[in-house]
Amino acid sequence: MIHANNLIHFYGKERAIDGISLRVAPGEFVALTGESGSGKSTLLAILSTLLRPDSGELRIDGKPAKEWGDLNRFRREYIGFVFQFHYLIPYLSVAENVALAAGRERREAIPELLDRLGVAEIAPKKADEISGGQRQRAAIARAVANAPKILFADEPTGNLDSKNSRKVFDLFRRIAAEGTTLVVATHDRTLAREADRVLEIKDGRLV
Amino acid sequence: MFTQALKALQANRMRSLLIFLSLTVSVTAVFLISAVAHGIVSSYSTILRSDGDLIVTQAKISDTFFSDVDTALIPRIARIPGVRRVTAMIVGASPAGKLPIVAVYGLSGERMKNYRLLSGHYPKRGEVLVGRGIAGRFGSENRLQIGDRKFRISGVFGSETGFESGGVILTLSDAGKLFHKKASMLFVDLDKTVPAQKVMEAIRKLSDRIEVKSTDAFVKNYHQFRIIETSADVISLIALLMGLISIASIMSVTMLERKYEFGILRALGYGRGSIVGRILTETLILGIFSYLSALAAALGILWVLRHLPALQGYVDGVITPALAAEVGIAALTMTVLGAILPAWRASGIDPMELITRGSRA
Ligand SMILES: Nc1ncnc2c1ncn2[C@@H]1O[C@H](COP(=O)(O)OP(=O)(O)O)[C@@H](O)[C@H]1O
Ligand SMILES: [Mg+2]
Repeated sequence: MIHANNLIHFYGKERAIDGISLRVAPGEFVALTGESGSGKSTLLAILSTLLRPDSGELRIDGKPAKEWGDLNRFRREYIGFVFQFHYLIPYLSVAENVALAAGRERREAIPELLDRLGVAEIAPKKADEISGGQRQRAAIARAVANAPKILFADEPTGNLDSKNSRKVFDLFRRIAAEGTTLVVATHDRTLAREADRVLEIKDGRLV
Repeated sequence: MFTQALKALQANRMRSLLIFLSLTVSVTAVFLISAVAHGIVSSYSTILRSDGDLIVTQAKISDTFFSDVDTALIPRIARIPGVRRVTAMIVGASPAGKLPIVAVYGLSGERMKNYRLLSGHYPKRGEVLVGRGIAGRFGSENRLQIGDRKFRISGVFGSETGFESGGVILTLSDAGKLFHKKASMLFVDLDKTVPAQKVMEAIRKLSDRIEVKSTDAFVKNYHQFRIIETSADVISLIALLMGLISIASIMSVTMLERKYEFGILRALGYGRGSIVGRILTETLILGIFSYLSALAAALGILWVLRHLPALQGYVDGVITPALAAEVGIAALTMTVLGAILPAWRASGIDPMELITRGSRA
């Protein structure tokens, strides 16, 4: 599903990603771990099309960058993203937030989706009316609302306690079980073990 | 999208209110200045158009107030073939009683009949007929001091035009003594047996100190009207620009506060255009509300101005449907212009910032 070859990315003179190659199979759940500053976020941003690498090759579902066409459209179809912060739009309900990500044809399926992800009871609530764990699960529901082929998550449990962190990973397991490919960056090695495979990154290189 | 826009406006209540207020204030200002200018122009045009196919004034004058035409021309013009009737009018302004300034119309005999008598009789020598708009201001006095002369009040007349109903009517010769002139202008009615052009040429031959125009041409080219209308347009433009600048500055701050909202939309695959569309929907809703409030406010203020005794009905602003439509288009254009740049900048947020915020927070 993801095929990266010798990715390199600089911030100024600093080589944040230093020749990373990797493959992620369809439906695989991969965790990316490493110290803070090791390059997890940068790699995730590159793999998820949010950031263009300075060099290297990236193919998603077999397509190299030049075949992605309109990037917005490509993102809607292929990529879901969960950040450390939930970024729920504060004046909209959870259901409306999720609907923002769903194409017209998927709007009908939202109640069922929320139910499946165990967040149906907070659907009518706004971000400031629910707990941190619930917000993050709502953000995950939004990220998968358009049934993307790959879900990326960058430190999704960074602001959560261990109980809520576990719930989030349970949710990832369920999403992976439905066939979605997952790449999750976390500095929490215990949680990372929930994944099918753990990749460790250090100074911009896989170890 | 519409309901979401309403929710966004409600969530940013303070900002929405500020935009609403600055828009409403500037649009109200535009309405008032345009309506009052339009009112002045249309009142005076109505007076000039009330009868007569041609208007004769002194040559090379900037304002009918300064025009002086010799009434000895009246019988000579009347003899020109094709002329049915010649009347004369003096337009002036003077203190009257305790009112500091009142429009004074001196009218030759037949012209008086154009004014609707409400009580008493048309003024003879030494008499004055007062407009309904100011009749109440002179108490039960039956004498009225105008300029340095005293007149007997002969009655009250009515008129739809603020300039008239807030003024007084005298005989042409009495007004002539007040303003030291024979007539401000002559009105010539034609019987249409001879082309207007020929009559005008004949009149021009009588004196080189006069100017003859068709009433239509006179009103269209009257310099004072152009000055009033241009000033109103310039002030309106400034008011609109001020509104535009306030929207732009309030929007810039709002967009900065809401940047992550647009960032997540970018990450969800929204194009810049659709984000700008969402933002413009919000501001257009505010724009429409502000426009309607401004229209209501302006109508209210104009009503008060029209009925304020101190203004004697002279400030008679009219908001015609055409003006309302014009201002509406200008207001909405201003709303879009004020919002589009901040919206476009906001839509350009790099979703990478969403990652950075997370890791630095
Ligand atoms: N926007 C940026 N500008 C400059 N340097 C950056 C930027 N983002 C990350 N870095 C640097 O790149 C390196 C990798 O950062 P990052 O990918 O955020 O690592 P991680 O997510 O593992 O903490 C770090 O040294 C970090 O300081
Ligand atoms: Mg990071």
